[in-house]
Amino acid sequence: MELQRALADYERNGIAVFAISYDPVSVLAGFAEKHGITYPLLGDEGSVVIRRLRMLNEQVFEQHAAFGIPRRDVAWGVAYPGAFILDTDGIVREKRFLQSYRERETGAALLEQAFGVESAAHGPEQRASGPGLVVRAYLDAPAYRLSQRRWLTVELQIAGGLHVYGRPIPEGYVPLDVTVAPIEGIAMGGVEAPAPRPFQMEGLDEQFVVYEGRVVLRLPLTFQRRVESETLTVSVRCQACSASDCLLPVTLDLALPIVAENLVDLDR
Amino acid sequence: MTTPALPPYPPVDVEHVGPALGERFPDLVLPDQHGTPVDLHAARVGRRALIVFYRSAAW
Repeated sequence: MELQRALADYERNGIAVFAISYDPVSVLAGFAEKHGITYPLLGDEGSVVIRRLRMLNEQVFEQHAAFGIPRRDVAWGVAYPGAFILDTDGIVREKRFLQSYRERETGAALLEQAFGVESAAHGPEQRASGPGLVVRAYLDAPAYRLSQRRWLTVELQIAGGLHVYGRPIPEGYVPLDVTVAPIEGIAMGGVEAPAPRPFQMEGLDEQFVVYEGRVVLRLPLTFQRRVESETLTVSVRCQACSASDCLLPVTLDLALPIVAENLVDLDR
Repeated sequence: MTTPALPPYPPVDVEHVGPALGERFPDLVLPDQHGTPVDLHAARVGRRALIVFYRSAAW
């Protein structure tokens, strides 16, 4: 599994990783050997634990039918694909399930979002800088697989004493905007941004909200079709200001290459 | 920009699937790929953990 790639990051950060499926040990042994998997692949043959944990996927035939996949009795007993994040006391702190059973998140994305740890296994990053700020952007894996969800991370580092504006914003000012040029075959979700903080400028009645310091924005991408040798063009537009002055507004473009890992069989 | 298509079947009721938020993840012992029984909480030895359920290693 793709998770192996980010395993060293998990280990370095003291996070244990387990995967559970309904496969017999013999299948898991072959799978682990073929893909070099070193974390525990736990086998729940007969789906006893999967049932006890209320993880049995009772919709599996409906899901297959929806994608035109013939009914296979062997599919009964599988777990819902999903991840649980446990704290040091073993308490469930987060549940991550994707609504489309074919979509998956990467190990690096889970690490960054669920555990707040930056993964060294993320894709190559691009940097750009403008007046008062530095931007870097990267995808959470160096290559994509069909149906797997990738996250684009855009990080702004705003120089001390400066801020950039968020929305809502009074007319005549430039808010922070991150846009990605559309690419056929890639479904893009909305940009997830942290909440900006309210800000009042001296001598002005207008209400502002601002970002300061390090700001991390994320956008989910799902590859629905094979995309070859494309470039994801990310534009970051903003204007850095101090309490009294503004620097010039700037649009920074970052070009991230998109590489297909391989053509994954679509009828899985 | 295209938005992700909603899957053509009822959405997963995440709240009721699997152990609940804030609850201790249930104890379990299952064999790993070497056939060695693994007690999940004992193997964590006080660490945080990621537990991934996936369909199958066979298909």
